[in-house]
Amino acid sequence: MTPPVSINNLTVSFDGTPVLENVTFKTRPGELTVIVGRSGSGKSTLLRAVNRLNECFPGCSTTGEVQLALHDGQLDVYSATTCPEHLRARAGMVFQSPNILPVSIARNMLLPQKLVRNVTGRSAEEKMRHMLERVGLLEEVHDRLGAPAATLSGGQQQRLCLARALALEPEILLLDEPTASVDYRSARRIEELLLSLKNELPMLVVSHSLPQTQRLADRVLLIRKGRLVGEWHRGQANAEADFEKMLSTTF
Amino acid sequence: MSAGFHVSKDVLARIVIAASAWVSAAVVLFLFLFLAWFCRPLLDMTTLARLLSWDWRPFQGSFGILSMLTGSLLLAFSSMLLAFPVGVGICCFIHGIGPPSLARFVLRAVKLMTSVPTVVYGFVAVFVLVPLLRDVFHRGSGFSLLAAILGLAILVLPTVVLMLHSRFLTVEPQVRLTAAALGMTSSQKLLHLVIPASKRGFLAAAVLGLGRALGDTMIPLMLAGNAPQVPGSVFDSVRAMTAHIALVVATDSHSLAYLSLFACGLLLFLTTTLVNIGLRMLTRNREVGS
Ligand SMILES: Nc1ncnc2c1ncn2[C@@H]1O[C@H](COP(=O)(O)OP(=O)(O)O)[C@@H](O)[C@H]1O
Ligand SMILES: [Mg+2]
Repeated sequence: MTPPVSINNLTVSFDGTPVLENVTFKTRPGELTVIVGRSGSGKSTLLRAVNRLNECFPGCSTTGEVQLALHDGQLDVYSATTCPEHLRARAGMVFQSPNILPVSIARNMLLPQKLVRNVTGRSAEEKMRHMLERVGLLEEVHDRLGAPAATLSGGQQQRLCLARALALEPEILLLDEPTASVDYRSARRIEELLLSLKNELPMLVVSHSLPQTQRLADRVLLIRKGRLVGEWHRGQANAEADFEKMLSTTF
Repeated sequence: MSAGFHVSKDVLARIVIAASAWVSAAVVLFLFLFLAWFCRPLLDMTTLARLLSWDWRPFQGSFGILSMLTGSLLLAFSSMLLAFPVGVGICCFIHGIGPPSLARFVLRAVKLMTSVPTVVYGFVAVFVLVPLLRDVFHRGSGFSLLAAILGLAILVLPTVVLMLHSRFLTVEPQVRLTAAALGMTSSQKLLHLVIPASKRGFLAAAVLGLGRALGDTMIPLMLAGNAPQVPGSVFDSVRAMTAHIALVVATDSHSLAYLSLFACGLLLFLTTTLVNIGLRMLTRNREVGS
């Protein structure tokens, strides 16, 4: 089976200072991969290397290889012929702090569908409702879809961002500490959704919490100072003891 | 650096900012009072009637400034009608529609345009634009409403572009990463996110552009032909209030002609203020409506 994500010798530098060095790993279909590490270790940079979002920052240079298994074949992320917009439309991302667009709730859902997937009208509305339902937001916002998204609470905004990413039918989902800035109930709601999605949608999740990693992860990647220093898998021998040993230094 | 230093610097900055705000407000108020004071003699009804007429024939005792007012308004609004859409287009080109290298070049060129003295534009137009208009249209001398409109449009273009540009610069970083992460292209981001969030920039560009067009003296003086009349077509000559002031100051002194200058000054002041308020109300209504 082809790995949904395979990263080979990835090095990312900002202004000549390496932030990620020689990172190599593969994920497996149906598995939820969680990336952990101290603040500043390079987790966000690793996620952003997958959808080439690091390129939006000045002074960034990337070497190495990232391959994604998409429905229509392998995508060599850093190949000269790969269009970043196409890549990013296929690889959805949820940021650490909710990044709503400064428009209404509905428009946050509908505009990207229209521009990126060319889905409009009825089908876009249906998709919006379906995805808001899945993140548990529809009931809370159905009577004020036209209100500015900024009027939502942090947890609601983050679920909106998740729904927005899902509405674009991504083939891989990148989540950067998706529950770091949300209330407990929103966090559990998001975790449940991720677990229910993991068989249909490959995911890379950066997590800031040990219990969350325990609940979600089939595979854990430990990053320290820009290097991949540990890898754990649910099926390995002594899984529980090793999990604690590996992560005791991180959380 | 000590914390105390920061605080005092902060306080100093606040004092300076507050002081400059008060000084500017005071200067504006003083200007208004000055103009109003010198316009006092106008308050007598017969004088007022003579000023607010269409005839400017100082030797026959007609000192009407209405045709100058018409000339100013025609010039300012027509040149903005031209410069505003072009300026918006250029700004969009700079922000993601055009290729980055060319965009940088265009921005630099527009910034350079602001540092060219008005008289240079006028001078070049007299020798290039006016003969061109004369030869192409064969209507009069070429010193016309049209020539001044084109000249003014070029003059206010950088104002429009740079006001919008500065607004885009504050809006774009707020949506840059999100738009990119969603897979939007830079032109989609511009059209659907940056422009709708830049209403205040459009307002500022319109207000400042119109103010500049209304207030400019050199271009109308050098290009519009200065005939104090209501033009029948764009090929006719007109006189703007600013040019009128310059002309009369240069030629005449103690008479009702001189008094008409204060009326022109006051009218200019009021027009700019009204344009400012009007545009503000327009955009406010639209924001409430949407
Ligand atoms: N745009 C950037 N420019 C310069 N340095 C950056 C940039 N983004 C991240 N870094 C640096 O890279 C390192 C890793 O950052 P990040 O990937 O955000 O870590 P984490 O997500 O694990 O907290 C940090 O030292 C940070 O300062
Ligand atoms: Mg991070």
